[in-house]
Amino acid sequence: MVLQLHVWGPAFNLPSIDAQCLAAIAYCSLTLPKGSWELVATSDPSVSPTGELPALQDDSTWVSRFRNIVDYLRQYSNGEWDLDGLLEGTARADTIAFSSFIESRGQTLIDLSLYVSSQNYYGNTSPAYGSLLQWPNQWILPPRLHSAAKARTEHLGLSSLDIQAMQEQRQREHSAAVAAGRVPKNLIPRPQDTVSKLLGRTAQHNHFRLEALTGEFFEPLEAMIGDKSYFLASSEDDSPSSLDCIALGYLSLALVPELTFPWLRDAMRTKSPHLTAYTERMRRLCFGEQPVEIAHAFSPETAPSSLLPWRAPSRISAVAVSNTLLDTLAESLPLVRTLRSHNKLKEGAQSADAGLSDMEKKIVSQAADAGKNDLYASVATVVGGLAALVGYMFYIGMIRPTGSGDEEFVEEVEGEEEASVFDAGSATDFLGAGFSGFQ
Amino acid sequence: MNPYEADPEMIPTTDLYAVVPLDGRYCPKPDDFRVDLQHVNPQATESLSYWASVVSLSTKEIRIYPADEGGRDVLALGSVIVKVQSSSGSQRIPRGSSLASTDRSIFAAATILGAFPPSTIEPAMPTPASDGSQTSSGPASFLRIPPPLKRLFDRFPLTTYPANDLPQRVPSKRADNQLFVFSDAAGAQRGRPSFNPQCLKWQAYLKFVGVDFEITPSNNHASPTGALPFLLPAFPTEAAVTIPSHKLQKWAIEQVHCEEEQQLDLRFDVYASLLDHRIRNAWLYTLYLDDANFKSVAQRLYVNPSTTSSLVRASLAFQLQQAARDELLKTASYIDVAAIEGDAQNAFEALSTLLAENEHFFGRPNPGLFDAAVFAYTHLILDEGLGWKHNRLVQMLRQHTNLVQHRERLLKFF
Repeated sequence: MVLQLHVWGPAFNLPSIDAQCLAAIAYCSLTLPKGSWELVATSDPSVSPTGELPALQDDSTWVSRFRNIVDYLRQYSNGEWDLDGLLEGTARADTIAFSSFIESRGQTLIDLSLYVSSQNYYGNTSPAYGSLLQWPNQWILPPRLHSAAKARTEHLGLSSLDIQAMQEQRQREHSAAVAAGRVPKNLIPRPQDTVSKLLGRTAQHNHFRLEALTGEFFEPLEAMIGDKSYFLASSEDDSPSSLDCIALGYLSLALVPELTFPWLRDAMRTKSPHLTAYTERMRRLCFGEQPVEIAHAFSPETAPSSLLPWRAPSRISAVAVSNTLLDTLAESLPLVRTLRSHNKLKEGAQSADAGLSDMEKKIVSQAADAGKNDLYASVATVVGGLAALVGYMFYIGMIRPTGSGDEEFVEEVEGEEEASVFDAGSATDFLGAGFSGFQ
Repeated sequence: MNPYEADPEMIPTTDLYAVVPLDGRYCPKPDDFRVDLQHVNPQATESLSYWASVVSLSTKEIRIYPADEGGRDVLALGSVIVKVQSSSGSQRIPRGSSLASTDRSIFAAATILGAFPPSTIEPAMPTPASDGSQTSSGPASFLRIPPPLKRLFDRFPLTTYPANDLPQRVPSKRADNQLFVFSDAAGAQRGRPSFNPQCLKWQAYLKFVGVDFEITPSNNHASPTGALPFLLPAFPTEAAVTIPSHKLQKWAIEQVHCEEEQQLDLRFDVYASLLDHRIRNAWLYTLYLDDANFKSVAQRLYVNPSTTSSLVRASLAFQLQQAARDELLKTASYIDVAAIEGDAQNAFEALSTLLAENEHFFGRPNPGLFDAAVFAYTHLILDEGLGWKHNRLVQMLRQHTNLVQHRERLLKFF
């Protein structure tokens, strides 16, 4: 069985739009021999049982996340497909620490650059998702990713990059002014904000914060890479490590995309020239000389040849589409969502491969059942309470079943009929006039 | 055309309300009717005849709008609005008043017929202008306090109490810097390490660099930034300036002129990310999401001291666990325990390699900020007194003897 690497699809001339996927692609292209693996731009996290991409499929085994994939490949090949096998001591510690550093800080910067900056999100990222996702995922997934990125960067206080958040804030202030001064709503001036105006106002504040953030991220990396060809290279003929793959994943997403508001790329170019050159070099080594096109991923037979072993994703079936739609619908209904989570918990516990002991299985199932019963009980309480209230209102005469409502209804219907008759008449007149004009 | 034209002569015929020139507008003129103040609270017959003449002035021409069934006519009599009970006879009875202009005064002329005793006559109360705005006069009059309610409120005794004294436990004269951390009263008195890693990091750092301070047990609600720790410096005493945790290092550097360690080694920030993400995630999982640990450690330390009500405790505990879960789900779509533990194991390994055989991190002669940050986690993980039920982190940490020894060396400071 050929290993299949499922990833988010290509965008911005890179083979994937997600940094972790880029890192996994780079790792596979450096370690795995040609023909032993395939790259599938599934762009749908629900294909993997873990619900995450990148995911490596080996027949019925699924492994997700970069580090798990690296571990799995090492075990699969008995230590042959492993970039970090020769690392020892400080180098190994550095791999761990720098990976953690790049993942945490780099993710923040990419979130800010691709998702939180409204201009870039609506101008570049959202269209890129639109072209690589299939219906109906293109309507469901990007907003979800967008809000996740916003939540991750909330603590930085850079929401002023986000025009939507700014407008909400403005609206809150506006209604507060209305409430406080009791000024008639329509008399308060309400400036229409343009993008440049908003950014102009907050640019200085943002500038300092972004300057600090990019500096903290690029400076240690620039000092680390120096003149070396790889992060952990000590001599000329050293080979790349898994750290280089992670770095390529995050740095290429910072450097390559052509964005409307390219602050991250500008910062990278000015602050870390060595790092920029290194990223370009690594990109050519792992992803090939040619920029990756969407066509590579979806119709590899007709597209110009690529270094990466693309395989077209299978067409999404009608069942999968309806499943996605149902899932999304169910997740957005408050009661159904809770019920589904309890059911899922029970299913997960009782399935054979969960690796739980009998005792644990029993406990989890009981907890799920108890949760479900709680939910039913609270629904029953609310319904009972409402019924009692309505009954009481009938009893004291606040609601009276009357016949007058019906009469009104009849009158309304009659009025509508008259109106439609009148319309028809005028239409005939009009047509008649038209005909007479022709004659 | 002036939209606020109030002179009845000047109002153009195109005006929406041209038919009722006096409604909602008032243009003062010298010959306007004004209430002769000496006849307010009338006692003499002279006054009664004065009010009778007022009644005769109320004619149809100055009517703003006619009474509907059982209502009152409203008349604009010069500077005064008069409401008249529309009786069947020709005689109109002014019965109290309301007002739509700053310049108009309110009066009640009901007493002329002796229907009410003179004491019911109320002094005028000016109300905000509503000139020219027909639409806003509706809500404005609706918002006005009805007179009976106003009388009630006027009688209501309003007393302003003096400000509360500060609680007894606040020292009357602060001699020392106060560091507010999560702690219990007994532990705070003896300066024991806090049980919150973030607080313990700064507590340890200030101790290591030699700043004198006292520990005050507190919680997040006490902090100006919403997060502990924060410091109340001894100087300046008069200004209540608090120092939040992200400015503590700068403050300490100003106080004792220690080094800013981030500048000395490029690996500082890089290895600090191990503590801030990988080890912190494992800590969040072990303390809050492992049910056995949560009940015996987190609930006892964070939830139980704040209240005795079991209902509030349950809700607080749920909130704590939910917050931890949300934090972990920010970076992943599901909580993968094996991955979290694997990451923590790698992180400890990297830290152990970084420390090597040195006394302190980065080979410094004295412990510093990085040592404090590592100690904050290693001490709490290794602390048997917290009552861990199920602690995988201890097993991982014990494999690295230099980290365990590092913790024991630093524990001597407390």
